[in-house]
Amino acid sequence: MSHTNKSKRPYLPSRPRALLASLPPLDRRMIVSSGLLLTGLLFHSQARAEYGLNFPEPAAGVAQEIYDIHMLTMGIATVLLIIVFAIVFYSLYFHRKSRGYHADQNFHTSWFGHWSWVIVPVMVLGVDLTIAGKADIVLKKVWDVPKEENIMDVKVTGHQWWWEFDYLDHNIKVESRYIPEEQSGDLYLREVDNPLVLPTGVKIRFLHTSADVLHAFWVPELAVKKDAIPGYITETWAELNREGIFRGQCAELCGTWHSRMPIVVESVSQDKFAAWVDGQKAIKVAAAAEASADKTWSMDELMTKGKTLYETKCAACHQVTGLGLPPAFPPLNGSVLTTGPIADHLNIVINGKEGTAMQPWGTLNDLEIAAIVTYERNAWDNKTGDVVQPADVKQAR
Amino acid sequence: MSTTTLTHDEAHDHGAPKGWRRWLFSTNHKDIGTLYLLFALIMLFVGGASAMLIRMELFQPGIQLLDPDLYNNLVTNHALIMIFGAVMPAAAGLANWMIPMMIGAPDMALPRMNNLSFWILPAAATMLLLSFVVPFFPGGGTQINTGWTIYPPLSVQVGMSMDFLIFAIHLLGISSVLASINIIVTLLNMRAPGMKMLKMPMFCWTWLVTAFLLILVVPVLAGGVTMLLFDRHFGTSFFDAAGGGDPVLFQHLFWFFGHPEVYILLLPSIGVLSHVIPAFSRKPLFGYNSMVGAMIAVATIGMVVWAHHQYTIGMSLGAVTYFMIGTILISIPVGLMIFNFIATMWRGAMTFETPMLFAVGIVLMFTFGGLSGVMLAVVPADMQYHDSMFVVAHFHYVLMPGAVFGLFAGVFYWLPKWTGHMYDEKLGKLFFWTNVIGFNITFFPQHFLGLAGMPRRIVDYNVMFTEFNVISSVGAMVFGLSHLLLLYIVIKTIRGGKKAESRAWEGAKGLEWELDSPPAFHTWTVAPQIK
Amino acid sequence: MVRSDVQIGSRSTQTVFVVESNRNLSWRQSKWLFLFLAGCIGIVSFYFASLGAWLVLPFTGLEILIIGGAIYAQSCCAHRKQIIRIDQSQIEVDEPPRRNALKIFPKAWSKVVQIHDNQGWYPSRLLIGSHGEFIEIGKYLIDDEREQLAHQLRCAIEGA
Repeated sequence: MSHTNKSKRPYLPSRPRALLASLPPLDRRMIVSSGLLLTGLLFHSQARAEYGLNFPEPAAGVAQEIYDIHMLTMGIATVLLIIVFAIVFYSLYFHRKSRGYHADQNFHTSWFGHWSWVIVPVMVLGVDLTIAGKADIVLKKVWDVPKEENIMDVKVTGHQWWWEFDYLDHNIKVESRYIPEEQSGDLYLREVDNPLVLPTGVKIRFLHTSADVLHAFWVPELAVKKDAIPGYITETWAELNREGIFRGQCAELCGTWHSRMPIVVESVSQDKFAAWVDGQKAIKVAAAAEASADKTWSMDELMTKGKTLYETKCAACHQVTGLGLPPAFPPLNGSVLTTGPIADHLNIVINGKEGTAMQPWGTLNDLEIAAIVTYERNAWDNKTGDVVQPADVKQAR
Repeated sequence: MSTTTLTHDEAHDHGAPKGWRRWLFSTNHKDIGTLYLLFALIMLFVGGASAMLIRMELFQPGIQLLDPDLYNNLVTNHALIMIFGAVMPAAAGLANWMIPMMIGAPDMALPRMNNLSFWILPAAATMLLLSFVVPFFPGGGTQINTGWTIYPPLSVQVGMSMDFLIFAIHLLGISSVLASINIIVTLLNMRAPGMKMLKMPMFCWTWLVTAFLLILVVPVLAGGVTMLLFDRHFGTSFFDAAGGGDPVLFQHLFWFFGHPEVYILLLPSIGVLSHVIPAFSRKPLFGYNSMVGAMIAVATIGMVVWAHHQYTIGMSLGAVTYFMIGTILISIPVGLMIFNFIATMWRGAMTFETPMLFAVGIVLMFTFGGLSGVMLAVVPADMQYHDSMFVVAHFHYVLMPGAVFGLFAGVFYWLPKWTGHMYDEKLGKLFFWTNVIGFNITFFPQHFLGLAGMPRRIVDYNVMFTEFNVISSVGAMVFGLSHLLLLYIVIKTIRGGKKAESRAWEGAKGLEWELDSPPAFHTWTVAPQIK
Repeated sequence: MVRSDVQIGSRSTQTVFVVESNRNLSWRQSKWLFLFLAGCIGIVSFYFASLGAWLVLPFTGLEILIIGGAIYAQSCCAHRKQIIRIDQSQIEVDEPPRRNALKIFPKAWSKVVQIHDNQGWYPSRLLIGSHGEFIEIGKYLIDDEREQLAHQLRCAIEGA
C-alpha cells in the first residue's frame, strides 16, 4: 500500500483495513490450505503460483482510493454480518421449543413492534449514508478525468481477441496478443507479446473503444475498468506510483477466445519510458524503410514473413488452418476471395468489409500486407502461385 | 312437485378427466400447479447439469472438456434455464397451487389462460433446446457464446441458434405475462368475502407485486430482443454504431427487464418465508404491514436502478451517482424484510423441520449476499468487481438462498398438503445440510477469485486461480448431486408415507390448512371463514 | 353469495332469491385497475420509445389489450347475478344485465335438480325448470352455498 497516498486521505478509516491487511501471507495460505483439507482433497499443483484473498496492491492513486473504499464497505458489511449472525444464533439457541421456551405472542404488539418500521430503516439509512458519502467523494475523483494539457493519452482498442494500444502523443502503436502456453508457461493467459509500457508519475488518460464487439480493459492494480464499445469512446485515467509488471484480462465477454485477451502493463520510470519510446520509433523507421525499399521479394521470403504475420493478426478469426469459424468468420482456404482476382483480395484486406468483423488493415505497411496476401493465396490448398509485391500494395491503396 | 338428484354421469357425456387429456386440457389450478412444479424440477436438473459441466471444465486450468463456444453456450443456457425454466415456473407452480386455496377462491380467475400459460413453457424449452442443438449440425452456425445477457454486437455475430433463442425468450415472456395477469385478476377480484387486501396472506401479496413487475418489464425485453432480431436479419441498425445505432441501448432495455427480474425471482420466496418462519416459530409474522410496505418499496426502487449492472459503460457522473444512491437505498426495505424475519424468530418457540432449516439458512446467507450487493453498488469499487467472479459469487448468494432455497422451503412446507403424505424428515434434513454446505463450498471461494482478478465467463484461466477453482468445483459436485436426494424425497412422498393431517404443521396458520390433505380436486366446497 | 327475501305485496306473497357471484371489485374499480396498469406500462414504453426503442410499443400495446380483455372477461364473470322470484303460481328467473333473459316456469310443474359428481372431479350443479326446459342456477357458487340454495328453493316451492 502506498504510504504517500495514505497521508493525503484523512477520512480513511484505518481499522477494517488494518484488520484484513494485517494478515500475513502465511496466514492466508494456511486458511486456504485448511479449506483444502476440509474438502478432503489432496491437491498438488506443480506450479505454485501466487494467489490472493483480496485485491492486489494498488499501483495508482485512484486505485488506492478504490481499494480503501472497498475495504471500508467490506468492513461495514462484515460488522453487520457478525451482528445479524449473533442475534440469529442467540435466538436459535434460546428460543427453542425443545428448551421449553413459550412463544411470546405479543412481541409484535409491543412499542418495539409498533415503531420498528421506523427504527430499522433509519438505522439502515445511517449506514447507507456513511457508505454513499465516502463513495461519492471517491467516485468524483475516479470519474473526473484531469483536463491538464500535458496528460498522456493512450487509446485502447479492443479487438477479437487482442489489444491495440495507441500512444497518441508519441505516435506509437502496440499490438498486444496472448502467448501460447508452450512459450508462456505459468504465465499463460496472463502474458502478452508486447506489453503496454507506461511511465510512473504521469497522469495517463485511457480512451477505450472497440473495433468489433464489447471488451473491457481491466488491470486490478490500476483499478480502472471501462467497457470498450464500438462507436463509443469511454475514458479512464490513472497515475502510476510504482514500477512493476501488472497483469489483467479482458473483462467483458467478447466471444470464443474471451479468455485469451490478457493485458500486461509494464510500469517504468520516465527515463526508461523515454528510452522505450525511442526504441519503438527506431523499429518503426526501420520497418518502414524495409517496406518501401524497391526490393522485389522472393516467394519464400514473403511466405515466411506472411506465415508469422497471418498467425498473429489473422488466425484469431480465420484460424491457423484457414478454415475460419463460419458464419461470422469465413474460411480463407479455397475461398473465392483468396483464389480469385488479387485486386479484390487486396481491397478487402486494406479497406475491410463493412458490416462484418473484418476491419481495415490499411495501417499495416505495404510489405506486411504483401506478405499476408501472398501467404493467404499460397497456404493450405490455395496453391495459386501468386506473388504480391509491396509495390502492388502501394498501387492498390 | 318432485325433486330429483341425478349423478353426474347420467346428465353429462364427459366423465372424469383421465390420462394425458387430464393434463393437456386441464383448467384446474392444482393440476396446472403440479405441471409447473414438475416442469421446474426437470429444468432444475437440466440447468444443474450444465452448471456441473461448467464447474468440471473449470476444475483445472486448461481446456479439457468443452470448446470455448460450447462452454459459453452452457453458461448462457444455465442462466436462462435456471431463471426462466426452474425458478419462475416453480414460483408460478406454488402460486397456482396455493393462491386459490389461500384466498378461498374455487380456482384461478381465467382457467383457460392458465392452461395456455403453462403449455407455452414446454414449447419455449424446446426452442431453447434447439438453439443448443442446432450448431452441432452442418450449417448450424456458431454457438450462443454471449451469456444470457446476449449483448450486441456479439449476439449479431452468432449463427441461427440466436434466432431460436430470441423466439424462446418471446414464448417465455408470453407465458409469464399471461400467468401474471391471471394472478393479478385472481387476487384482486376473487378473495373470499371479508378478506380485505391487508388481510391477504403474505405469499399472495408477494405474488401480486411480482406479477405487477412482470407485466411492466417483460414487454421491454420482448421489444429489445425483437430489435436484435431486426438488426440480425432485416438490415436495421438499432444497436449498430456504424449505422447510427447504439449498442448500449440494448443493455438498458435488457437490464430494465433484468434488474426487476431479480425481485421477480426473489419475492415469491420471501412470501414463502413469511409463512414458514411464523409457522415454526409459533407466533405471528412480526410486521405484516411493514413487510407489505417494504415489498412495494423494493419493487418501486427496483424498477429505476437497472443501470447499476452497467456502471462501466461510461455514463455521466450524474447518472452513475443517481444509480449508486438508488441501489444503496434498496438496502433499507430489504433490511426491513430481514429484520422482520429475525424478529419473528425472536422469542418464538422454534422447532427445526426442513422448511425452517431452509428459512434460517436463507436469513443468514441472503443477508450475506445482500451485503456484498451493497459493496457492488458502490460505483468506484464496482470498477474493480464488475464482470469478475466476485459478481458471480454475489448473485449466487442472493439467488440461491433468496430464490431457490425459498422454493425448497415452500415445497417441503406444502408437500404434505399437496400429496397427503409427510415427507421423510431425516432425509429432508440430510438434503438441507448437503445442499447448504455444498453451496457454500462452491460459491464462497469465488469471492476471492474475483478479487484476485479472475474475470467471469472465461473457459480457461491462469494457474494462479487454480486453488479456489478446485475447491469451488468440488463443492459444485456435492451441491449438484445433492439434488438427486430432493428428487428421491419428492417421489417417495408422492408414493406414500405417514398420513398428513389437514393442519400438517403445529404452528401453521391460514385457510389452506383448513382443507384436507390432499385437498379435493375442487376446493372450497365450504365457505371459508376469514378471521 | 345468496340473499333471500320474502316480499309481501298487495296481491300476493313473493319469495325472492338474489344469487350473485363473489367479487371484490366494482366495475368502476376494475376500470381504475385497468387504467392504472395501462398507465404504468404506457410510461415505461414511451420512455423507451423516446430513447429510440420504438419496437417496444407494439409489445406493450398488445399487453395492454390482453390485460384489458382479461379484466373485462373476469369482471363479467364476477358480476353474474340471477334473481329468482317465486310467487303463488309461477317461478321467474331473471339475469338482470341481459335483456330477454327472463324465464317463467309454472310452479306446479317445476323441479329443482341437483347433479353431483361422485368422483369429485367437478363441482355440483343446480338446475331449475319444468317440461324438459331447465336453467342452471348459481354456477359460480361454491358447493356448500349451492346445497343451501337448493334446500331453500325446495322449501319455497313446496311450502307455498
